[in-house]
Amino acid sequence: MGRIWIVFSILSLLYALLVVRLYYWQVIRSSSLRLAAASQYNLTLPLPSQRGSIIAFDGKNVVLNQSAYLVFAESKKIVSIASFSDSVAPILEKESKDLSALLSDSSRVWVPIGHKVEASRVDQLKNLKLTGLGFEKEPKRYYPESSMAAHLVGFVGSDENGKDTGYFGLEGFYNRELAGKDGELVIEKDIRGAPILIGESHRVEPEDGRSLVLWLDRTVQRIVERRLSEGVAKYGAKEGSIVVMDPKTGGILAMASMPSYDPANFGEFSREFYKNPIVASTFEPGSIFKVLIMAAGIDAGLVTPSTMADEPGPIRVGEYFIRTWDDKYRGMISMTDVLVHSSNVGMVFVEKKLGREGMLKALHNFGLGEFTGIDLQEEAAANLRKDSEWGEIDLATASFGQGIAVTPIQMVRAVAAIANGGSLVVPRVVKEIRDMTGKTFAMKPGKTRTVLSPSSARIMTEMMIAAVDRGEAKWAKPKGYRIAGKTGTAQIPVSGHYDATKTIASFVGFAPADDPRFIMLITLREPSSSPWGSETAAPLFFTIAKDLLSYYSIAPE
Amino acid sequence: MAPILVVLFVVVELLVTNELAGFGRKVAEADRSIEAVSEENQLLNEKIASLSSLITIDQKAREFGMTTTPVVITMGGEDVAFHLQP
Repeated sequence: MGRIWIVFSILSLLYALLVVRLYYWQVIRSSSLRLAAASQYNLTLPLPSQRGSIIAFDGKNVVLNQSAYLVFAESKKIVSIASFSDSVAPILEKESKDLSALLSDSSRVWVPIGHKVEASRVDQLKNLKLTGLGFEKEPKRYYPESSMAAHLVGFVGSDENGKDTGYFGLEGFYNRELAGKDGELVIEKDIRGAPILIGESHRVEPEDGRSLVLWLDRTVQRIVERRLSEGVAKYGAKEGSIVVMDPKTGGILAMASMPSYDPANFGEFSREFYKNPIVASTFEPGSIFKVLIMAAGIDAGLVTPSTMADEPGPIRVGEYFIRTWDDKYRGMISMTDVLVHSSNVGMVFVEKKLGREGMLKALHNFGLGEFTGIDLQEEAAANLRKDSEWGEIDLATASFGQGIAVTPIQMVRAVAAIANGGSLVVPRVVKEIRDMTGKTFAMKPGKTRTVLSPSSARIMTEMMIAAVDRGEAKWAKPKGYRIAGKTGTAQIPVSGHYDATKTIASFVGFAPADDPRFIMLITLREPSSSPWGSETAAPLFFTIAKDLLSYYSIAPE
Repeated sequence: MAPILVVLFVVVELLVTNELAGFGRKVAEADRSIEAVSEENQLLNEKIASLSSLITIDQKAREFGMTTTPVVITMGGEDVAFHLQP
């Protein structure tokens, strides 16, 4: 009886093991086995999607796809490697001996010898009628305007799997929309791997990428790039950047920085050129920042354009003395004159009126220390120090734009609130997204919050007009136009102290002041002809403003 | 009777297969035509983009003897002689 039980137990155990094993293969490993089996009897051919285009405001392409090919060689089929290399190498702009060495590697049967080769060169190669030379579609990006708006559009490179991926700017930010979704064709194959014509097949159509329609105006962009290039050369600046925005919608009309790079040949440039300094780099704004603190004082009802401040001499804050930029002191001056003469002492008066709470509220209100939400990949937000860490001297220097860092896009957005009647807008590069069927999705202009009352914005605009008409740069202003603006010259902090010889010259302004068509911020790093914004950035601003007013057919009053 | 039916079925099968193969060829030809037209479209798009680029327009304008905008001088109202007659 005992032996029967032993046999029964062993059989039961074996049966249980069998069930467990079956469960393992049929349930746990089923998906991987199904895939392994499918790879044995199915042939999967990728159907790549087409990347979407990037289109300017006027409907013209800024970036589109170009027919290009992957050129490959099948070494075993080549009759003579030497003559093959001699014929192919010049067309692919390669050295014949390098190509010959590559093809002589007996371990490789399929050798890619040229990536993204243009159709015209492929036609030349096809005409050679060489055995062992093959082509596969591999579209590449084409830039009809050459390197125009390079920082804005970004570029397309390869990811770790060799797949095209967008990096930086719009290509990076909208990579998913632009890339679309690859399809595939699955067909049954025979034992040699050849497709079975009457076998089962399954086709998933690729979804082409969507196209982006921008706010960017090609003409404005070209004007800005040409003038920036001239300005950087004329004033001997190390770097320069310009952003032009519609202050009402936040639409970016133009954005240019120097030095720049060529997105079609991005590999030939150092990586440091890839980031767009307008959204990714910070600077101490200097006097252009005064308009924000003054606007906060006016909006809080603490000062008016005619409020008088005493400017007897350097003013002491803690253990430091704050001076005016020209070390001249004008006694009693109005708030308008504080801006006209860009008085640091006058701004400390406004800062004292605002107090600690008012200053911090103003900084936060104007969106400093936070992302603007612009649709570009590499946006950085300069962090403001914690509220509790602001000392008396920090608040005083911040009132005239020193000791505080902002990105150019943060600065232009904040000043746009004065131009548009008090709204802090979200800067936008893309106006609408268009799919392959032509259906469009509008990217509505975004408003973050109201930061000024319309009347405060109007008062501030008049003060900025006075700063242009009576300020240091009045000589450069085009006659007959009401332009609101402010110059800035900020010293650059180097290893914990300010280098007196190195400045960032800037100018921010909008025109026509009563119904602004554009707001523009210009920054020039370390100009050598003059350190002052009034002698470098301001004349450059007015030169571009003249071009734009003429382009928009806005007549002088 | 049975052999006749078998032959008949074989003939029908052959006809259907032939028709299917022919249809497949037509589909393949249509696919090839679509691809060729798409490729030509892309090339034309490239050409249009290249010819309508501001760089090309600028070059053409220079070739035709046009120059860049001269300095625009604007006059205020007080500088303009509105009334030449008394």
